[in-house]
Amino acid sequence: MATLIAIVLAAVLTNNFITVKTYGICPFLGVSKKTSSALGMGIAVTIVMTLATAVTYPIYEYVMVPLNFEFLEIIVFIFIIASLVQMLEMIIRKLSPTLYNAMGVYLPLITTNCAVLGVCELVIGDMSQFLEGAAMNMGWAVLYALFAGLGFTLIMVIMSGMREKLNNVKVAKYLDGFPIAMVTAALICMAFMVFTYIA
Amino acid sequence: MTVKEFFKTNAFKCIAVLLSIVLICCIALTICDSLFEVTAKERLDRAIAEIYGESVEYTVAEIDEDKGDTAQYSIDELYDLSGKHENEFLMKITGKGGFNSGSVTCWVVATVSPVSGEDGDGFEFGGITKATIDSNVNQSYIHYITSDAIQAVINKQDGDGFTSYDTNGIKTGATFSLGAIANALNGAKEYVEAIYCGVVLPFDGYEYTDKLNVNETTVTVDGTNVNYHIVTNHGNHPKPFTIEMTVGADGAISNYTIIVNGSTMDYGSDMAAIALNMNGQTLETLEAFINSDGIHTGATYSNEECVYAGLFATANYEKALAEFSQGGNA
Amino acid sequence: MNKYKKITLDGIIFNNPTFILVLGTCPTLGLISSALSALEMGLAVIVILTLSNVIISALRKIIPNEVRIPCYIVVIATLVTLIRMVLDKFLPSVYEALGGFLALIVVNCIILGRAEAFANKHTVAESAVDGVANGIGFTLALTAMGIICEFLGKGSLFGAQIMDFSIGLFSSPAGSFIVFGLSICAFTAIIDKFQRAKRVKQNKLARENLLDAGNAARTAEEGNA
Repeated sequence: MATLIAIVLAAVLTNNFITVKTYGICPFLGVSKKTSSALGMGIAVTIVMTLATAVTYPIYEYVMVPLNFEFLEIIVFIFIIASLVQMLEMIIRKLSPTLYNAMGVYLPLITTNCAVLGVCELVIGDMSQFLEGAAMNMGWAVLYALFAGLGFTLIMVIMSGMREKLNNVKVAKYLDGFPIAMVTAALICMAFMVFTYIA
Repeated sequence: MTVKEFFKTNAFKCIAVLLSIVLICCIALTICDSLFEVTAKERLDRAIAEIYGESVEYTVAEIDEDKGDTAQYSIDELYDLSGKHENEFLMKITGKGGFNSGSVTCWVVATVSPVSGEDGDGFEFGGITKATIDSNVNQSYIHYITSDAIQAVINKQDGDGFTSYDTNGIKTGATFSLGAIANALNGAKEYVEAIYCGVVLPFDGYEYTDKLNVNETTVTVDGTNVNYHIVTNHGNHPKPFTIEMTVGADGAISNYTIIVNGSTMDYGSDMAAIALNMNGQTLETLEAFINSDGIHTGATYSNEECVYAGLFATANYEKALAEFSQGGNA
Repeated sequence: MNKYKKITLDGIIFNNPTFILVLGTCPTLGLISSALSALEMGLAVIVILTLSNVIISALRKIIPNEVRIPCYIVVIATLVTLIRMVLDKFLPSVYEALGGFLALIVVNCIILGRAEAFANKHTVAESAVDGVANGIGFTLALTAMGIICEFLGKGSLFGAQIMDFSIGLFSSPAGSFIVFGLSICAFTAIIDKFQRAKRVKQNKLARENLLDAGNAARTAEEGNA
C-alpha cells in the first residue's frame, strides 16, 4: 500500500514527466492550444506509455538480460514502440471510427515522443526511490507508466486551459507563439515545485 | 504471382532492406559491445575513485564475521588501499540506531599508523580522514546533515571515540541520524583497531557492552559480591553516566548509586524510577523493563544507558566473578 | 562553395534547430541548468547528427520510400547505442551527467528531422556539412542558455564558482522554460532586425543604382541635346 501511494504520488506530482523530468515537451508545446486536443493527445500518450512498458519491461527483464543483450535496448524499445503505435492505430481505426477521429491523428506523432521511450528506459533503471523497499516487478512498472501518463495528461490539460485564455490577450510580437507558451509552462512548473516538498 | 515475381516487387525490397539494415546494425553493435565492454572490476574502480576523489589501488579485504556486525554497526564492504595510500582502509559501514530505528550507511576512510612497541612493530589507529553518506533507512532529515557536520563529528574524537553531541555548535536538526553516523565512525575505529592493530578491548566477550565505555569501567570482586564502577558512552548526552553498583550471589543489584548523572539538563527528573534506583533488580526484571513501554519517559536515552549498565552488571556476574576474583582489574 | 556556406549559415543561424525550428526541446530543457552538460549534450548530438546524415544520405538510393522512417530510426538508434558505449567506457562522468537524455537522442526530432528534410535528398558531402552545421547550431544554443541558467541558478560557470549568489528557480525546469522562452524571443528579434536591415540596405542600394542609372541617362540625354 505504501509503495502504491509512493508510486502514484511520484509519477503524477513529485516526478511529473513534464514539470520535473522535462520529457515529452514537443507535444506539450505543439498540441496544447485547445483543451480537447490536449486531452486526446494526453490519453493517447498514456495508453501507449502503459502498453509500451507492459511489453518492453518483460522483454528486457526476461529475454534480454538473461541473454546479455542489454546493449540492444534502444533499438528493441524503439521498434516495439513504433510497431505498437502502428498496431494501435489500425485497431482503433477498425473498431471505432469516432475514437479514431478524436485520437488517431495524434498516434503517429507518439513514436517520436520521448515520454514513451523515457518511461521504458526509466523502469528498467534504478527505481528504488519510489518503491519504499518493495521489489521491482512488472506490476509496479506498468503502474508507474500509467500514472506517469496521467500526470502528463494533467499538465497537458492545465496548459491548454491557460493557452485558451492566452488567445484572448494581445502578446508582444516576438513573445507570441513558443516564447509565451514556455513562460506559461514555467508558471505551471513553479506551481508544481510545491509538490517536491511532500516527498 | 510466382515466387520469382515476388522477388521483384517493392514489398520484398522494403522488407529485405529493412531487415538487412537491422541485421547489420545489430551485428555492428554486438561487435562494439564486446570491444567497449565495461567490466565489473572497472565499475568498482570507478565507484571507489569517485568516493576517494582519485583513482587508487586497492585489494578487497575479507570482513571478520564476528567483529564486522555488531549492535552498533555493520561493515558491508572493505577495501585495503595500497600504493601511495598504504595503511588506509576504505569501508562501507552502516551505523545503526538512527531516527525511527533506521540506519545510515557511510563510506569511511580509516587510517592506521605504524608504531614500534616493546612487543614488536604494530599499528595504531590513525584517525578517520574521510566520511561521506552513501544511503540511509528511514532518516527523513538526512539532508540536513552537511559535510561540515560530519567533519565536526570526526574532529570531536576523544579517547572513547566519536560523538555527535554538541559538535562545535553545528546544529543539524537530525540528531539521531548524526548519532548513527557517529556509530558508523566508532565502528570503523573499533573494527580497524580490533583487526589491524590487535587491540583487545576490555570486557571482550561480555554481554551488554554496547552502551559502555569499556576503557573506564572497572570491576572489583569482594567475596561473592562483584562491585562495578561503570562509565557509559555518551551518544546523545553532554556527559557520560558514572554509576556504581554491587551484584551479589543472588544476582540482584544493591548499593546502586549514580555518581555522575549525564542526562541533558532538565531531563534528569524525567528518568524512570527504576533507572534512578536499581536496588533489588535482577537480569530478568531489567530485561523485561528494557522491552516494555516504561522506558519511554521523556528521558529514554538516559534510562537506556542506566538500564544497560544494570544489564551489564547482572548478566556478566559469573564471568566477572571468575575473571576478577584474583583482585585483578581490566 | 557558396552552397556549403549557405547550408552552414542556415544550420547555425537562419534555421537554427533550437531557436527557429524549436526542435529537440526535451534535452534542451533538461540539461541547460548546467552549462557543461549542455555542451556535452551538444557535442554528442553533433557526432550523431553528422554520422546519421552521412549514412542516411549514402543509403538514400537503396532505402525504399515506404520503410524509410523505420530504417532511419534503426540507424539513429544504433549510433546512439554506440555513443553510449563509447562514453560509458572512456568518459564515464559525461555518461553520468547526460543520464537518461542520452538514450532519448533517438527520439530527438532534430536528428530524424534532418534525415527526413535534408539527408535523403542531398549528397553525402552536403549532408555531412548540414549535420555539422545543425549540430553546432544546437550546441551553441544549448551552451549559451546553459551559461545563463547556470550563472543565475548557481553563480558558477562550467562548474567554477565565480559569484556567491544563487536563484534556485534557475536550477529547476521552471527556470529552464523561462530562459528558453526568452532566448527564442531575443534570437528571433535579432535575426528579424538583421534581415530587415539587410533588406533595407539592398533596397537602398537598388534605389541608388536606379538613381545612378537615371542620372546617367539624363546626363547622356543632356549631352545629346
